[in-house]
Amino acid sequence: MHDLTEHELIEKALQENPLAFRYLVEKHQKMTYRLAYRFLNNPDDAKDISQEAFIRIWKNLNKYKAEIKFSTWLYKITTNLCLDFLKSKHHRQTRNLTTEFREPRTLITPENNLEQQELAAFIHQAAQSLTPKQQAVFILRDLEDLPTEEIEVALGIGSGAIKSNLYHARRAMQQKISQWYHIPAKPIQYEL
Amino acid sequence: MNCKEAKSLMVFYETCTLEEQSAIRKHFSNCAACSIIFSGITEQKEIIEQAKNWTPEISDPVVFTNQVMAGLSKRNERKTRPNIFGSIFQWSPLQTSLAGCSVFLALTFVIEFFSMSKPLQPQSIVRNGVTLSSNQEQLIQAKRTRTARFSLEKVIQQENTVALFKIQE
Repeated sequence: MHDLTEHELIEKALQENPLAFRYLVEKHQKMTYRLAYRFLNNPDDAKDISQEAFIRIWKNLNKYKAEIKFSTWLYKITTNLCLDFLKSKHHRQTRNLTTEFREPRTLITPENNLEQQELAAFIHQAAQSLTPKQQAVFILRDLEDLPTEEIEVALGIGSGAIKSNLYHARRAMQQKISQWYHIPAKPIQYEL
Repeated sequence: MNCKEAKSLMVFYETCTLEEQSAIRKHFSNCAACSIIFSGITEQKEIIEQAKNWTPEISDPVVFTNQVMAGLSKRNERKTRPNIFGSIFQWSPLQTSLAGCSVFLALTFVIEFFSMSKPLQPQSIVRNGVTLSSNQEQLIQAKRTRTARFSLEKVIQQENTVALFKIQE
């Protein structure tokens, strides 16, 4: 079963073959969990949502269109579930991040995994204060490195809306990051 | 390139064309304020890149997969489980009797509704062996009142006349 292509696995899963679907889950679970974690910033919620995403995929497998990448479809379903979860649980409370992280930080070294984890938690938490669309665009584009075409499919919005949301999201994130780090303003010298 | 154009482009610096990037850099050499903003954006990108290096991991991927598969089998079980109530309602005599009952109830309701909305008939009154409708009775009452008022006026008039004669005398 491992030598089958993704499309063949989907075909087999459509014929109610649970083993084929199991391979799909094994292949994509890391990505789904990572995406959910970046939205929710909580391991338990991320696990529940990513599992629910796979169950929803199984339920709607007959609606899958072959012209869309399976991973893009999974991104779409996981993103929608995460946004619904945040909406329903009233997680979208504007939090004053500067009060939660009281001490100003210095730029970290990449060797330290614990500090990286703390930095990632800060970024995920700061992203939660954006609007749902901005948060989704920011996570998919800047954290997941998804191309604009795939974001268009995943979020069902045009490239103009993506650009606009990304612009506002990056500006807002820049403000939050500079508040947290107290980055000194210095001009950059460019050689023309 | 002015500051407004530079500000909108510098957020998407990595996706700009070479000409645009060159124009932005040229603007920075003349504008310190925009250069400072861009330095902030560059710092932000570095921080996000660092944050991206840490990826959350599933504590036990096998358990995760097993839980998903268990969720699927539960769903399938629910789909295939026979529906007791469904099979009872599919029994044709029960269906016929339920349909009859609902038609009867609907008709009763319609009849009751129309009988309630009909205007009340005037009650008939029997007076001296003659059956009168309430309208006729009201007419008689009104006539009586009018006659009584007329006779009272007459009495007053007579009394006034007598009083006038007495004064003249």
